[in-house]
Amino acid sequence: MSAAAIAPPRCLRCHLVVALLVVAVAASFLYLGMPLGRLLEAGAWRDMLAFLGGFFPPEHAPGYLARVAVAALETLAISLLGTLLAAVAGAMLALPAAGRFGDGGRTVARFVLNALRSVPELVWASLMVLAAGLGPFAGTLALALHTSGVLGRLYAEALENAPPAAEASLVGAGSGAVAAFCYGTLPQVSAQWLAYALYRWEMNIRMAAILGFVGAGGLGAMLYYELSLFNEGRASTVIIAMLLLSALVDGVSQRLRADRPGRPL
Amino acid sequence: MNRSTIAIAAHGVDVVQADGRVALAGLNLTVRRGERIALIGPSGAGKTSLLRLCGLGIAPARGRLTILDQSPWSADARGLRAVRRRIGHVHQLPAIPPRQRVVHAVLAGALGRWPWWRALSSLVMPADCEGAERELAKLALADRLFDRCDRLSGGQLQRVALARVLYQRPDLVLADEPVSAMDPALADTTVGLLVADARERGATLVASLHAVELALRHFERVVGIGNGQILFDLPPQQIDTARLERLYAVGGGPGARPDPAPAVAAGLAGATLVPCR
Repeated sequence: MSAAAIAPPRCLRCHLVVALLVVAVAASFLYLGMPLGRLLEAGAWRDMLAFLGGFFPPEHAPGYLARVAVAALETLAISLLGTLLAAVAGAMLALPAAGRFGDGGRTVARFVLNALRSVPELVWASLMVLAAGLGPFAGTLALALHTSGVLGRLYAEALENAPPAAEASLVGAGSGAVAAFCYGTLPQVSAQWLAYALYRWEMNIRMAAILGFVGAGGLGAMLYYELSLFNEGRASTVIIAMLLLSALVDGVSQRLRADRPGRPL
Repeated sequence: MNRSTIAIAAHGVDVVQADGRVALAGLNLTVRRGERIALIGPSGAGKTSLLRLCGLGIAPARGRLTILDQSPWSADARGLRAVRRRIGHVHQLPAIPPRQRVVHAVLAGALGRWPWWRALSSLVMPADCEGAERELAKLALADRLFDRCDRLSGGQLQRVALARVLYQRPDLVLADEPVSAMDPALADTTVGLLVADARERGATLVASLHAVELALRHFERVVGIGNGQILFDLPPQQIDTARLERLYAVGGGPGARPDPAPAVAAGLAGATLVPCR
């Protein structure tokens, strides 16, 4: 057979999908009436620069910096605890979701995971503020609930993709179910589970920073307060703190994940 | 415990694979306690199926099967587990998680007798480092006790799997090509070790081997399997080159995988070199 005779199959569906996307983008522009042209006017740039100028210089009085630092620690604690709770709950839900307790358990667990995941963190936070009151506890619960749904699904997929031979071999030699899982399957997914959790922690530190907008504590609550009073300089300090915190967590998390070869993310 | 003298008794057993292929047909086999048996035959002939049958990995479609004086497939879950913890498996491809440390992979041999809390605490603080090291030392791997299993070569991983079975100390050892990734000299000493361990403990050993000369040198009884049936069941002294040629000419039957020719050739060549005492 000559190489020229081999051609990739035509993909009618691909062409159709691209055409639909183009139509959808064009329709969105028309529907929203985006005035992109106004970005090019001279006045627009002047207004924007004036708005940004209001944020300088950032507030740097020692007393205020101390308050920002305390709020940053609170945000860090919210993200850490929220992610940790989510990793535990996600693992608990992933076991039935991977079909380990029959088809019924799988259906119920998948439904719960979908429900947890499809409600955004900010909506969970609004609900938790109503349920548990203003403050960091509500933010932690909100992050934990949404992230449980995300991690549970990823954990379940990792479990389903792990080769079953190791665990089956231990069961075949008379091991109990818990021990066989911990010696046969857990070592095959633990690195992936940890990497997923660290990755979500990076995302959750940013989310924890804005959960405060709905009253769930941390840097977000401060930012919301200062912006409401048009204290752009003080808001600027809070935003810088958010950026630093986020960079710090990204660095730590990536360092931890890079130490583990064969990581999935 | 009933100490009858029969370890494996199969009468008219058929084994049908999940895909509907008949792997073993009308199998009759009796293995006494403490016997050491080698299974030889072409790839796809049914050696692995026979080992899985004896290891309770697959239920017989027909016939009567007794393993270690139990009829495991009519027992409840507890009874089935009680039989299983007395059976040690060595798989063709060692079923060990790549990231697991060698010490845990070896201590996993004890999971059948350890309560669950001991199993879990051993993952944090290995419960019996000395025991694991003792078994590894027999296989010249003691220095790899705390290595991760994905740092080992194929032959080293097979030896870790063997160390696990040595640590388990089962009444019945089922080994499927336990030395396939080792060089001839190492394969020879390793099979010798497996046989000596079974002899010392009075355990029953059934091992499938591609290298015929290992089967003839170390085992007291050699079973030739072709096309899902037992073609001969003899002491090694009565097995000659003509018989082996007929065995490997039978092939593995319609569902068989193509056999790696060098393994068969090496087996036959080796067999001619071994004096049939």
